[in-house]
Amino acid sequence: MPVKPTIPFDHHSAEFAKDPNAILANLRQGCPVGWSEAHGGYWVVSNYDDIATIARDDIAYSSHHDPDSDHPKQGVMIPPIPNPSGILEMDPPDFRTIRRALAPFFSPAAVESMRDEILDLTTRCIDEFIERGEADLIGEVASPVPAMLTVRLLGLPMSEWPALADVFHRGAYLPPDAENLTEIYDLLGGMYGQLLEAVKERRAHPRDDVASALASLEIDGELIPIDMAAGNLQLLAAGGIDTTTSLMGHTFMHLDRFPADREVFRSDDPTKVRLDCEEFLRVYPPVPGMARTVTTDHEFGEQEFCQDDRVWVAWSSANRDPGVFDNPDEIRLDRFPNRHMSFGLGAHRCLGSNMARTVWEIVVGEVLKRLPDYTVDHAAAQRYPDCGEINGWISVPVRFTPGQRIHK
Amino acid sequence: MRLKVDSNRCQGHTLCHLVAPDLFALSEIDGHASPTVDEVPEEMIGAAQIAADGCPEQAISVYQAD
Repeated sequence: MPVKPTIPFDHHSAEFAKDPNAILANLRQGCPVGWSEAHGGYWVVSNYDDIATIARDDIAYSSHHDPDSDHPKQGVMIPPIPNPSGILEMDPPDFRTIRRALAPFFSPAAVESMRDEILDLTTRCIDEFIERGEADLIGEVASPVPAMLTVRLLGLPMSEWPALADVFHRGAYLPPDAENLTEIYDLLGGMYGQLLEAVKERRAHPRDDVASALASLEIDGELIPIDMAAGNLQLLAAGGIDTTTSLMGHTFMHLDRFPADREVFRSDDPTKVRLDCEEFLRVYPPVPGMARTVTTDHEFGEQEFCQDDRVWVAWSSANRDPGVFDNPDEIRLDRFPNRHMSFGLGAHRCLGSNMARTVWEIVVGEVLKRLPDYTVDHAAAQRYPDCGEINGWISVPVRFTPGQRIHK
Repeated sequence: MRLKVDSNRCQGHTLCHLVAPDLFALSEIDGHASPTVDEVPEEMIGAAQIAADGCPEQAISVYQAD
């Protein structure tokens, strides 16, 4: 057996949460394909081109989640989650059938038609704290808006949004030690049960929503299994809820540190604001990386990959590869080309990217319009202790000159 | 110059449409891009090249017709 270049790396560690970019820069330079002994062992790939190669090859690098097969597949999370996470943890061809059914709900045109709704949700959230002169931008706007939108899109009762936001917020940042895993699995299990019920209900009484589209979907002439439909709803919830929240959290922190960049959002040019969004995505990727399972023995980056090996591709590292980005550590608004991987790459690329960008634009824009002089209370702002799955903020407390409600 | 989007590679990042809206149309169904022209007008070749360079999937080619 060839010797694996072992690296002291764990994307769930406190060290990684503290300074992921420095750790990944060292790997890119010193060991772009390294082996970590954490969580049962996995390869860590940190160069842009290597990551692109893996992300585009669904045959050699499987996303599938089936731990009980002869060659166990553990999906895209390390450690794996209890239920397969919909198409994120499926390979073609079934992956494609389901993705095609979901795509129209998240197309640029579909998201454009939700603008008024997103603005209304944002306005109502800001109304709740605008007279107070202080707020937690995560708990009071950046978490509720995507959560309410997702709950509405999934067709769950609106009263469910705080519970759902809580599952993915805490599920994202609690380190996966034995004690926390029990709590995370309980949270996820409870929500999964609810989604199973939603699928059964839609199968009996279809409506014009994404849950009904999934519940009635046929794959190769057979109705989709209920658990597979529920897994996909769970994926939409996981993808929609804490990710955009995290991007907005970083954006609010950034605009506190670099107040001159607030001018960006006063631009009348929508193309410029969109390009700026891409740069915030590149520098502050909500999802630092994702895993695959190797399906055949082969050489990769001078290392021997074996069937069933786990591989973690670091999107956040690709985003700062100096071979692709000039001065990658500098945030340069309206940077282009900006081929960042914050939405992933290849067939599994984020389905909700148009929604994420639009929510970001509206929420950040409204916060700056209504509390333009906000300042962050850095002593009280809390970072995720574990940034392995999602890199975000638990809270971003701010003070500002009180304003007036829009809705009385 | 000709313009092509490889539909097997395009994943609907939509960046080409952002920087060159006259050259690329986005599908109403999945947001994937297709060229609006076969032949790129002289004054738009630069924009086509910028869009091609910015495609994360490297799905766009701007090339000389035979």
